[in-house]
Amino acid sequence: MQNRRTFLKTMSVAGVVAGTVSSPLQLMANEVKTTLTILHTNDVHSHIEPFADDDKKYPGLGGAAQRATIINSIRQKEEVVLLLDAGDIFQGTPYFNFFHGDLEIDLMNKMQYDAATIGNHDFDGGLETLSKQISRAQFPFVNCNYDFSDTIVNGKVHKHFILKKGKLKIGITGCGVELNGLVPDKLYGNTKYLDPIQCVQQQVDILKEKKCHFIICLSHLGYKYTDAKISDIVLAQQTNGIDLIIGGHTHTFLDAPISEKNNIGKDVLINQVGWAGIQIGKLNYLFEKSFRKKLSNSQTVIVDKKSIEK
Amino acid sequence: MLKVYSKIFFIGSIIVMLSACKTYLPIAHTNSLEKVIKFTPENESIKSYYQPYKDSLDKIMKIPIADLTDDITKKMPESTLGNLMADMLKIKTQEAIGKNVDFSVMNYGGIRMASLTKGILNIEHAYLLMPFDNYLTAQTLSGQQVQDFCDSIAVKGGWPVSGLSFQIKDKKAIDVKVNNVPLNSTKLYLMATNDYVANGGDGMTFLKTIPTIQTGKLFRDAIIEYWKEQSAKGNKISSLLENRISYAK
Repeated sequence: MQNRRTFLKTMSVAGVVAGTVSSPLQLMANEVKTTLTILHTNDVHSHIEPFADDDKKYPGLGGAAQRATIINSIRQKEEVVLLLDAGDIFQGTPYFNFFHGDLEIDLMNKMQYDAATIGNHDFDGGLETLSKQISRAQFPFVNCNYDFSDTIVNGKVHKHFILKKGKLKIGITGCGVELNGLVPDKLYGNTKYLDPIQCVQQQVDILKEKKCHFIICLSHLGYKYTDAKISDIVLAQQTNGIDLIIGGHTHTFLDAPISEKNNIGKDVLINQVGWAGIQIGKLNYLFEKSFRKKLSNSQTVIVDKKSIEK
Repeated sequence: MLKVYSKIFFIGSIIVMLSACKTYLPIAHTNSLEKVIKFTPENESIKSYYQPYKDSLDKIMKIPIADLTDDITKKMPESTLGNLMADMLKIKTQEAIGKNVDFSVMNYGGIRMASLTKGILNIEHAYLLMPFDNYLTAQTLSGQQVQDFCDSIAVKGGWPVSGLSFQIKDKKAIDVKVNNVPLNSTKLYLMATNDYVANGGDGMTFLKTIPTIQTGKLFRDAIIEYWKEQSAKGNKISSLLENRISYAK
């Protein structure tokens, strides 16, 4: 870093001396940094209205119209915003029983979600409902470890998706939890569950090859388990190349993202924001144009709220 | 002058060459939680989009059908809300199959509200408690299978049960009783549960092979019926802790 700074300093001095040279320098300075804001929800479970005021746990919290206000105000403030969901969009209120996911997807379209993954409860209306709603969504559904090839969902779900936002190429993949024993057989039909670790690694390798600046895995595996079940922690530890895991399924309220080391010792962030849409996760990343090699051994600097306040 | 220009050209080419090898890398991040609270203003376009859906649902959902005496909550290993759900499961399954069942069990994750607040219960509460289209079912288990099932429940930390009691010790069920009588491993027991559990849901795979009596009645409809019937009789809905499942001291 010091070398780069010295280099830039020398360059600006050279620029001042040369007078006209300042324009390519300015160009470079503008190109050097960019920001990315990631907003995310998980396990919203058809919670379109806020909780009742007399609810013991979450009185008056949540609501799609309230979430939209927050999302819109952040979109106005930030340079590049991504809005993602980690699954279990459906099931939990009469809206799903009566309208079978229409309203949830319409509202996500209106809020301009960029991508979502599939949770176990997204199978609750059966494969036909899932297939119909994926088709109605104006954003991609991303999952790489459910083999839908023998179902009507075939061809509708992306194994990975690349979002071009501002100056950045963001690679997204997704994975879901074992369905057997969790979702009634008749609801998921011939969907086959494949090993998430292997499947995700394959997709991440492709995304790296396609020169993505940042790789996100939308996961509905669950945050952490006491037994050997594959969780986001395990996914982070046993793969490499993922920058961020946006999780769901376990309805875990994390106060801040957790950092885990991947299988080559680099940091992976994991975040999850509870359920029912009573909060939205927000991550702001600063990107700098650098030499990939030079920085390859360095770690992402974690700037938490406290260190900013200091 | 020529020297200066060539210098500029040289520096310029370096910049171009260098930036070609460069890529955007994340160098820092911050995080925060955006809480969606009661005072967060509503987005009008979203609100007006779902309002017609809400209006049509409210006509069906906001109909009061019963009165709850106290706040009840969902907890492990035993809870007031869990006991009420298991009691309703037992009573309504008996009614549907026309014979007594010995006990009932439902999965903890099948109750989708953390609590019910005392006062009016309406149709919507039944939907929020039991949004799944789970059906009432019954299965016959041997005493040994009941013990195995209770052990699995003990590992999970305790599920809602009715007519059944045990203590959890070292992740095993001890002192298992059916209607206050110690479990007899040679006897057969009729258990009420939902079709999700009966089909091996939530890891209870071994139940999958046991023949299931189907009732065709949705658990949610059973809840609505039960609440309406109690109100018609002039009864309020209440639930108590009874040491159905506890940790051994």
